[in-house]
Amino acid sequence: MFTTFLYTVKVLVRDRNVLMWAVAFPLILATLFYSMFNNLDTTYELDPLPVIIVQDSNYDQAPGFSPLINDLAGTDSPAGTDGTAGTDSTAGTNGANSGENSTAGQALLAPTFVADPEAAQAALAAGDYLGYIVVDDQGRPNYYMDSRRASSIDTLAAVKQSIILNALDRYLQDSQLLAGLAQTDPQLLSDASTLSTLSAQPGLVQRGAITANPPSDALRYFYAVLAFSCIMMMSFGLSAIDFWKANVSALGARRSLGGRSWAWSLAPTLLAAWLLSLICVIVGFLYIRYVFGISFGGKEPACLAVLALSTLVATLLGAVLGAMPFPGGGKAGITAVIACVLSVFAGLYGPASQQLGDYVANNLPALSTINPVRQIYDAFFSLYYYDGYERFAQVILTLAVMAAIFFVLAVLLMRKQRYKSL
Amino acid sequence: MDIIEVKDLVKRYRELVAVDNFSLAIKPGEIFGLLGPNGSGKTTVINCILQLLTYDRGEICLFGEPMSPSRYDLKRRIGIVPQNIAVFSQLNVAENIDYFCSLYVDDRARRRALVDEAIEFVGLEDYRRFRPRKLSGGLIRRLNIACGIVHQPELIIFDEPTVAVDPQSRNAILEGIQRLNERGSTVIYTSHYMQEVEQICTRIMIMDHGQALATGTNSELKALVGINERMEIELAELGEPGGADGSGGPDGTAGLGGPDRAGEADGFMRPGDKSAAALRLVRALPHVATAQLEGSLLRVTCSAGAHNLSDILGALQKAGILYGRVFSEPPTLNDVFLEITGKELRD
Repeated sequence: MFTTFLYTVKVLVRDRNVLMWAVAFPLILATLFYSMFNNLDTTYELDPLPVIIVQDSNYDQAPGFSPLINDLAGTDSPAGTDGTAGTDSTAGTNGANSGENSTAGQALLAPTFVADPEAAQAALAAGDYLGYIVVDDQGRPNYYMDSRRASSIDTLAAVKQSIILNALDRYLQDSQLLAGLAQTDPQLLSDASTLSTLSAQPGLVQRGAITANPPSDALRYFYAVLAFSCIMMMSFGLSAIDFWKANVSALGARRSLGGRSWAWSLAPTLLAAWLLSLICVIVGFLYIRYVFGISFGGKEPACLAVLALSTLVATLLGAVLGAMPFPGGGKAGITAVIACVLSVFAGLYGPASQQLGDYVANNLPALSTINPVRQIYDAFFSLYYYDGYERFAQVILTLAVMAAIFFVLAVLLMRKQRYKSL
Repeated sequence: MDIIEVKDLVKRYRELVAVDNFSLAIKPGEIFGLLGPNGSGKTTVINCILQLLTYDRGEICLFGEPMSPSRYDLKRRIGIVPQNIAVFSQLNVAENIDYFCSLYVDDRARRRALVDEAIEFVGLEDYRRFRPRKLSGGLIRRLNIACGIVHQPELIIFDEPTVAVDPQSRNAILEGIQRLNERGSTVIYTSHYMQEVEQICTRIMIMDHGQALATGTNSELKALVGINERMEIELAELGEPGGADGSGGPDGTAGLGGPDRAGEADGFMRPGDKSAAALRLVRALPHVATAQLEGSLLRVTCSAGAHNLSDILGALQKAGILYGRVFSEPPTLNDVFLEITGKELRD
């Protein structure tokens, strides 16, 4: 048995086509995805907005306005503590790159101070500023946007500007409130708790965590690549059976005439194919995890279990396909087609593919359940996003059932030793 | 006890009867030849015997016991050298042979010795570490043979092992088969090359359309056709024979003969007259079965006779015909096949 195992390993390892599909292709695809999607989350990151602040006497006299600007510029108060600085925007990036859940804040404004409005207008005309803020003689801040940029369709810039406008509106509302209180109930302003409540600035953007790890769009691609890699291990099962079945190849016919039972030689053959598959996907997993820093929610041991079960499913599926009684030449192509089609529903091909996969998962869950690629993808997904292991266990159970079904099918197809024709 | 006994085997592919009431018995120590044209059912019979193919009817016993797909004890006593090359392109020569040996032999040390012996037997000592793609066609065939015989089986089946092999490698293969037989293995050798079968087989079965047409030793089969000698004689100064008997060659005498002018009263003997006279004289000889003139070549088949050649040459001299080279050979299996089926084996 060991000899059969050993030679099966040698045959598969020395098959360049198999190695290409099993090892090189997933690594190449992952690298490609990394180069394409590494900045996917940082694309939505809010960089400090370059604005001009007119620092004249009105600015100095406007109560509380200077501290607000300092807050927004992140120069005075600790970043993120007040939640005003879009902290959630960085979460995806950090999740994708390191798996750490960052709470660090980020400056919203990159202010440049000038002495008067004329200087502000000149700077606006000359430099890369989005607008300028000037406080009028009644202490009200006004925001002037660069007219050239006002018509811009830069969504992210519009978001930033709206946040600034919100902040200024808030300032105005608070100022009006305090002024009103001063007129109607001045004693209330001497109450420390009331002042504390009024001075507390609720976050303009508040972050709420509903998953175990911060969400990231980029992760979907890498999990899909890994799922695709796992299912591509069909090629190992297929190649192993190619020289096993008498009705598939001359080699298979000769092996069938050997003095060993079919089960005796099938077991080490499939074992070799499975172990090689597992090694190949582990290489891919380590590459994605540690070279690209893609997070798996800190549950790497569970990921290995997923890989082991997934490659078993793929190997057995390849064996079933290999044992089908039709010529073997096109089977390699069929495995590639199967893997590619099933990967559509794991979101391998971009947002449209992801939406389709999600739609099928939500509306036709049975189809997702019988799709091994989607199940493998879901396994990684559940490990990353879920606190508990319930969802993960469901997926693992589904994969185990698949493996059992493919095993039975493979045995049924391979126990046949006599054929009507060869 | 017969090594192989097949009774009334029938194998159909839908309407096509591939093997038709085929029976066979092979004794230990034989080199048994299955001779027949491509598509005659030789490989199908072998695959049925080895239980790779289902069959519709018949009994198959190997080593005196009924054969079935799960009779691994019987399979261990058989070696198969298939028609198609069946080796791993990813493994080298020694690894290939060792793999196939491992399908029969567990003990590593014994396997190593067997592999060495097989490599030496087929003359691949210098190619142990070569992968098949680096071997020539003849060397790959030898590797194919080594994989089939490495476990030193009692029965070895060679299914057309010399297809697409150069003459030198072919001779090496045939000599190897004879040596295996001398070592004690019974051999079944299927081929459509009659010379090979004649050369090495102790008993021969002629097959066509899935039927066993005749079985016997080489001489027994040739005795079936009733001829003992075949001669070809190159004639000179010959015209076409007279049209009266209709046996003349169609065009081969151009320049020597020409139209039959026997009826012309010019007082001279024409070449055409000579050939007709020669044919008459040769056909009149007591052991001559057939005599035909093809161009300048006279083909004669004779039954057993002590002086067939000298009698024929004497008749030609008597007719005044000069002759050149003379070929004489015993009948071939092609003659047997022709006699039985009405067509040439090489057709």
